Amino acid sequence: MNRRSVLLTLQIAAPILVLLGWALWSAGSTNIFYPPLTKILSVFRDTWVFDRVGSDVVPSLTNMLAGFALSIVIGVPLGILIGLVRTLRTALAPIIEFVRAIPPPALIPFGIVVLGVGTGMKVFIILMVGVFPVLMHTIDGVRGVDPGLLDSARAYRVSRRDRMLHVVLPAAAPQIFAGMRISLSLSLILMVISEMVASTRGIGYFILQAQRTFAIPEMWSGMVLLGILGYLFNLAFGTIERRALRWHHGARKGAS
Amino acid sequence: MTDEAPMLEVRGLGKTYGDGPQAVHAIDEINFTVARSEFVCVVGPSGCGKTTLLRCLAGLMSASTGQVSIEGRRLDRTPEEMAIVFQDYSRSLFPWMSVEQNIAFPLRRKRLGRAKQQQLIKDSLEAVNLADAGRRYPWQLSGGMQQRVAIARALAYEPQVLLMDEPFAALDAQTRADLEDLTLKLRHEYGVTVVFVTHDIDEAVYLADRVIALTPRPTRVREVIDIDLPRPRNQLTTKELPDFARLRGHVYRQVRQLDDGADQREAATAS
Ligand SMILES: Nc1ncnc2c1ncn2[C@@H]1O[C@H](COP(=O)(O)OP(=O)(O)OP(=O)(O)O)[C@@H](O)[C@H]1O
Ligand SMILES: [Mg+2]
Repeated sequence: MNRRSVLLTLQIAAPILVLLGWALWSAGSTNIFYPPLTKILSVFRDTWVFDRVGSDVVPSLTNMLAGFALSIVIGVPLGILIGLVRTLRTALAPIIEFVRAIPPPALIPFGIVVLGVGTGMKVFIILMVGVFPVLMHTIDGVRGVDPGLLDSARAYRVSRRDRMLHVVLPAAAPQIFAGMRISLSLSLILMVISEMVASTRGIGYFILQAQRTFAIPEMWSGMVLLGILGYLFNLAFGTIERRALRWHHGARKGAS
Repeated sequence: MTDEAPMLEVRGLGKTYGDGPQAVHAIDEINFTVARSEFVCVVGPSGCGKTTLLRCLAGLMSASTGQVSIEGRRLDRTPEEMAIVFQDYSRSLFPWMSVEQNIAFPLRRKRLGRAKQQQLIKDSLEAVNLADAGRRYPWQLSGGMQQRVAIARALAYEPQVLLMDEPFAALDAQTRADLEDLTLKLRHEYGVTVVFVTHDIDEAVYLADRVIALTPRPTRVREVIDIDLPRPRNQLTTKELPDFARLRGHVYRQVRQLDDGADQREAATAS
């Protein structure tokens, strides 16, 4: 076996071993806080395949993806603007640093007062946290664009619009993707947090409610679901990133 | 009147970076003209301000004093009829664009129509012997191939003036000789005016109709030397001509600031 397939086998085998260990360790458990894995899995199937998908999973993910999408739609153009205009950067830096420094859960009471307890508040909370990694990374990426590339574009009289879209944006893309990746995990975290306060549905609400009613296997099943979702999101994101930044990885491999 | 005006005219050009005690006086005062279809090489000691001069010529940087005109028109940004080949090809080609896209990108605003644009791309790639590389990406090519793509991009732009800043400095001797000959051939075929910056005196004498030798910083024109070697030039036979050796020696002395006869003294101190 070559090195690659050894690594691949290891990657598949390790989680299976952990699951097997968990199943053996918890088998026949009577401890109410650590129910048997088999029990958790059967509750998982009854709950999430697909009983509560419409009522909890879909609303949760809608909020999360809306917040994440808004983070990108706002963070990237704003970041490009701030990255390019020095006066704007100087003026906005303290404000951005201040807002960013507020611990996110502290925004929830404010969100409830202004937006109520509905979807708007949750998306707002996710956005308020998710936008910053995208924004900061975009600013960094734009500032780091190779001046040689900008010179080339300017020397060939490329229009301002084409320079933004086809030079600055792609050149900053590796950084922007790094910011989006952080923002994606934060969005999932904030989705759960926002549902644990003043909420009546969603995965976060379900977990909290299960715990309060001592439905411990249900609580576990919600945690497992979040783990799976987070994993799948990262997987999907990684795939998109690799395709979009193929040139970047290729160029880096060529350079080393 | 544009027929009378030289292709390029540099008048009283000076450049100082920054101000106060940190100011760097790069170019003192430079005057010269370049005729249509002429091949001019600019040589000068390292750090004297060659790149600065070229960037001012290209309108990528504003001069502190004086001005640059192209066909009598004063230049503030890079004019339409000018293309530039930079020294560092890895920082001038866009790595997210294929070779074809790199060449097509500057043509967008010319709105040529698809057929004409495809033709230009094809012809320019053929001219630099890269007909098959259109779909590849710059980082998949060797340094010499990348610089040929940069030249193809300049050709497809159909410039009347081509500015080149030490374009072959990072390449090995063989590739370099090939690209020098390619540049001469393209100049011959397209009749384009070339201003070529280099620190390599052999290269300058081999390529140029005229060599402009600069002094150290703050730089001035030390001498303009006519290179009356026959064309077409050839890497072997041209460089074997007694005139080549004579011109090469002369330019060398100008750049090293040696008066004729001073080379013996230099040789004496060196040994
Ligand atoms: N942006 C800048 N700010 C301040 N000083 C600069 C700047 N660019 C160049 N200089 C200085 O101006 C002088 C001329 O630089 P320039 O790059 O034009 O020289 P060059 O002849 O092209 O050098 P080389 O032979 O290394 O290519 C140098 O002393 C350099 O340090
Ligand atoms: Mg230079």
